[in-house]
Amino acid sequence: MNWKKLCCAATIASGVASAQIWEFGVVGGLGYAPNLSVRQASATASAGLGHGAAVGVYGGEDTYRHFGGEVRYLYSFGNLEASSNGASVRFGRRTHTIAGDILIYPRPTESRVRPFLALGGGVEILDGTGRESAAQPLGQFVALTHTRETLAVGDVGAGFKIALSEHLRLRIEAHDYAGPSPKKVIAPAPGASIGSFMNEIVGTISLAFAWSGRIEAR
Amino acid sequence: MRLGPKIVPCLVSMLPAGILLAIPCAGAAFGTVVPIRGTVSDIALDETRGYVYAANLSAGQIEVMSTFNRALLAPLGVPLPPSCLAMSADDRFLVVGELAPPGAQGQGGLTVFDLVTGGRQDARFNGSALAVAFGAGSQALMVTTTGIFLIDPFSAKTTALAPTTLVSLNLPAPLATFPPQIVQAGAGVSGDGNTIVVMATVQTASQYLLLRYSVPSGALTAEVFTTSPPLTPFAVAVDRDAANVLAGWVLFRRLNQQSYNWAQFPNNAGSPNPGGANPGGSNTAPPIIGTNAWDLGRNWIYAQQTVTGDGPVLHIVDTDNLTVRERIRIPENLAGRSIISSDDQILYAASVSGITILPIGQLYRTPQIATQEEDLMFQGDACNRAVITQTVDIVDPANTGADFTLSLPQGTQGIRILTPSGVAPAQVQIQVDPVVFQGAQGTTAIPLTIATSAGVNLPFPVRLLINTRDFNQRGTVVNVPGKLVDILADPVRSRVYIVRQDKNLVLVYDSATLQLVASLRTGNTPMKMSITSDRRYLIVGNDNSQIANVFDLDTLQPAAPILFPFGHYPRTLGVSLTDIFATARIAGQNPCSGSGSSALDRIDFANGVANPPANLGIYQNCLSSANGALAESPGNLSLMLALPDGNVMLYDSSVATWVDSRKDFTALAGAYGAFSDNLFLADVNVLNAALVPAAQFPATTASSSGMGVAGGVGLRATAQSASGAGLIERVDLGTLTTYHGTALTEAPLLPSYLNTPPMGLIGQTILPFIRTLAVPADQSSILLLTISGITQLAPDFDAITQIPAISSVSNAADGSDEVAPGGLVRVAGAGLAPGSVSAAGLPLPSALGDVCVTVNSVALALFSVSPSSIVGQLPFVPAGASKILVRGPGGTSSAYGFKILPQAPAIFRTGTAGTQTGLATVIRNDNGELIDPTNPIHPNQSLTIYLTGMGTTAPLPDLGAMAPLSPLALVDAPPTVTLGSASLNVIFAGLTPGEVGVYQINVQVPAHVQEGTSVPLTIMQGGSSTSLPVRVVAP
Repeated sequence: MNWKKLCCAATIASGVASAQIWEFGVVGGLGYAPNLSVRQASATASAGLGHGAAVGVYGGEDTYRHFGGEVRYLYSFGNLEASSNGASVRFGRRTHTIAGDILIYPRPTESRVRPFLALGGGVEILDGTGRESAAQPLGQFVALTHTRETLAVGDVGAGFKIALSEHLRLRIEAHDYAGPSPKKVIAPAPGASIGSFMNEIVGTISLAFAWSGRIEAR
Repeated sequence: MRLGPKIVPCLVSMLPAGILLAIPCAGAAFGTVVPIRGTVSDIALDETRGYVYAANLSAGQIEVMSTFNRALLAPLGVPLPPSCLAMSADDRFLVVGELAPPGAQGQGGLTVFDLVTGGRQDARFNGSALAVAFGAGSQALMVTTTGIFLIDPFSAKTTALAPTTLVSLNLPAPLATFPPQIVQAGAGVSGDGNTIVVMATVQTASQYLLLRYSVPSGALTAEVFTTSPPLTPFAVAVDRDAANVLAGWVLFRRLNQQSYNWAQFPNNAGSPNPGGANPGGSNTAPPIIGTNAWDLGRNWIYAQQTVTGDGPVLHIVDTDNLTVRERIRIPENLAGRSIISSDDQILYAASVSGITILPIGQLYRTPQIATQEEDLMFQGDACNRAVITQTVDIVDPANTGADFTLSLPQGTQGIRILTPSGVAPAQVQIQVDPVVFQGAQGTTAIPLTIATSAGVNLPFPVRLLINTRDFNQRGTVVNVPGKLVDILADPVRSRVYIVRQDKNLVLVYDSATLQLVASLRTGNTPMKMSITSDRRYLIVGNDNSQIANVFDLDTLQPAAPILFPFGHYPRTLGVSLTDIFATARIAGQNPCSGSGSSALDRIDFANGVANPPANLGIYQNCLSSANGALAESPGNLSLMLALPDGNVMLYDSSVATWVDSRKDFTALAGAYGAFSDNLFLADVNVLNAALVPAAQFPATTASSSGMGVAGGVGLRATAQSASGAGLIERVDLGTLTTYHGTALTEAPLLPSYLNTPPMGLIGQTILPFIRTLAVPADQSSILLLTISGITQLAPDFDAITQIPAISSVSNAADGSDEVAPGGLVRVAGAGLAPGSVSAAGLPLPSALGDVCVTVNSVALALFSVSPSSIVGQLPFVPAGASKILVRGPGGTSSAYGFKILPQAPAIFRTGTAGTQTGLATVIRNDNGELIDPTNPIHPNQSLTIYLTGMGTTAPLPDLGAMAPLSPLALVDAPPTVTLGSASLNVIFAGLTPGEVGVYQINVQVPAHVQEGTSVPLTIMQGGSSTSLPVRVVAP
């Protein structure tokens, strides 16, 4: 899947509705992905994305008093990890996540503090960036691979926005990006099985510029 | 005249243009002769003026030769026949000693030339001047027939130091008598100028004075020695501080105010002029030829000695034990004093024609021929009857492109020298047809003679050792060049000691690996060894040194030697708990008071001396021969002495005396030793604790060579012929019978094999008794001295082995049954080999660990053998149905049928990565690691695939030989390689350089490939293919 195309599609979709307040913000935070379980015969290991920092941008609008929409891009980097029985291996990785969310606000637009619930989905592009080696530890469980894999993810999140001024918004939130586990960057060894789903929980703080505007409904 | 090598012409023909053409025949000679009308009795070097003065005894004048152009200038006249001369240290005075002429009523004289003022002074005295020399002082020391004097060169006055009664030949002399035979004396000066050494004759041809005069102290010491043959040449070479003096054929070392015979030149003929007729006309006249010169700068000695058949040859020898380094042809025999210039560049020597000039500083630039190998081994076996090729490397150390000619003894068959002559450096291939030698079963040793016409040296021959063992012959041969005359295992260390007699060495080998650990320098012509009862010291007897060397076995450093009485040369040694005895060759006065030509010496080890005891217990210390041998029992409780005439004696350390003497045999030779403290072996006879014959091993045509004990069982080695197989058998020490006779790869040594014509001044003394078997301390092997060096046997050499049985033949890469010519195969089965052995290097042998394998009667090259598996390279035999046979000690297997394909590519599964093993040998070139799921293939990568079974190549290396790097060997049938549905670009397909039977394919992965965890990587060649599932990811 081409992620640039997806980004444009999400932007257009969110702009179809008429809106009153636009927001564009920058995001920073930390991600955590609980490791997957890997089973090779009677032996087990765990593998996954591990911890990682995340930065990104988002743009959105509040079309209605209690609903809004936005598109978010997150770049996260860290190490793929695998461990078993005291042995472990790390392998460089980075992810690009593009997701479109619908935001539901219990409080109206003019509230200074607005909690929200986000629901949406998108894609996650996972790059293994480490150095491959035939002698990679725990190769009997998984092969951490220098390649790219694109995964569909669902997104659920929650947080709140604080209007610091007429144009400045502070946003604190957490998202859980859930989807199928990678099979190429974290490839199960022949005969091994790996958990099917992977969650990545990303907690972020955003600072956004907000301005009013009107788009005529077409 | 020139200083360079001179070609000695043997045929001169006249070309039409009138040009003389000299054709080299006898080879070049080193040096130049300046002939002088007359006879030269002594020379002196005047470096200030560039002159060599030569005392012309018969012409009664001093010849003056310019060192710049070798021209003879106006001679200096002297009133009497000049016998000796010397230059003062400041080159001002030339002192000439003169003989009493005919009719002078016994009055000789001296003349002193003042070369600065041009003055001269003459003096007369009673007697004849014999030798004169200047040290670092201002006065000359002169020795005459009547006394020793100091001469003040300013006044020509003499000061008597001591009277003498020395001899020279009175004039007039018989016809054809030369100065050394008349004067019979010589002088030399130490390098520091502090000691003058003179040798002179006390009694013609037998008794000599060795006189030392200390220049600083004026002390005079004199020793008189009786020698046989005469102590010639009358030339004295002295080291820097006069601790060592080479006078005649003896190297004296000064210890405790005495001179000891530290080493002597062997093979001194002792007869007059071997280069021509006896000039003295009498056998008692001393020989006229020879010289000695000590090169202090290079720390070696130049010497010529009277060696029968040697001709004008200068030997370069070591200063500690006279080991021959090189033999240099010179234009004529030297006769008397030699002088080396102060810059160590030129040696001037009195010679039979006059003065010979040897540019020793240029010797290293003078054409010479040598070989890098002392031995070349050609090892065939029951499987391999193909021609064996080895290479001899011929070098010219001076890099002048000297010529060489190689030759074999006349009538030699089965050996072909591909380029018998040429120019060094060269690698000459020598081919041996084993079929010609297969009847021998052991090792045939053939000398390869090297001659050169431009080279000035006499190259040492190379031994060609051709072994065609049969499969049932046991033992692995390790080549050890040289004349090996004794072997002894260290009873507590993992070492074995071997005497190499021709180089005056004890070779120390690790008994497990048979790697050389150290080389210990001995006296001249080392004979036999023994180890002290505390296991700390090794003692070595020498037949041309009157010392026994002692080495500390913990440090492998020499300790103070045992000094033997003058005239006693220790040969064999016996160490008991209470005494150490030595058999000795005794020259001169025999201590034996009864009948006998020799005696035993008792060694006082603590004081480092040996002396003959007056008696041996109740027996006379009179031995019928010096050729006996002493052997100690394993616990040093007793000693046995065996003599060639059949006499045996026993020493018992519990009573510290000789307790038995018997003669039950008419002759004894060969193996000797003790099985235990109470059981001995002399030749084929087992003797009990009283040396009474207890048993006799079966009489065969073989000769006994060695004996020993391993695991409480006796061992005995015999040889039937030098080129035969040899035999080792066990001895039941209860029944005293032999059993489990087993053929050896080659024959153990016998004295008769070691006795070869002597070569120059290289020592050779071979006793009739020999020791060839040694069991290391850990008893992990049995070692034998054999024709080629050491033969190593497993302790269970006689284990009954089953007949080999083959169960499968597969390629050694992936284990499939598809194999191709030149590929690596694994033969599986049972009883294939008696043990596990891997080839030590390349080219691979056709026999390994007593096993060989043939396919359609052609031998495989073997990597490794074990009881269950053999890995080797298939010969390049035609494809098709084939039969394979394994030959081992247990016999020959049944033929096993299998099929050989023209090509059968198979990727090795021998890769390892981390804890993974058995990986396919496909390498990703970007990171140099094997591919596997964690190191998958990506697009655009290049890969190297290692495999076997790709068939013939161009060029095609020899079986078992490493593949060439240039040119690369390309496969005759190019392969195609695919990855999934994608074709890979094959960049190279051929043999891996430096490997045997290993091929490689270099491929490039395209940009678009099928991804997957199990994508087939397939290699197709000819009608065969092999495939490997691999992980491919993109990008």
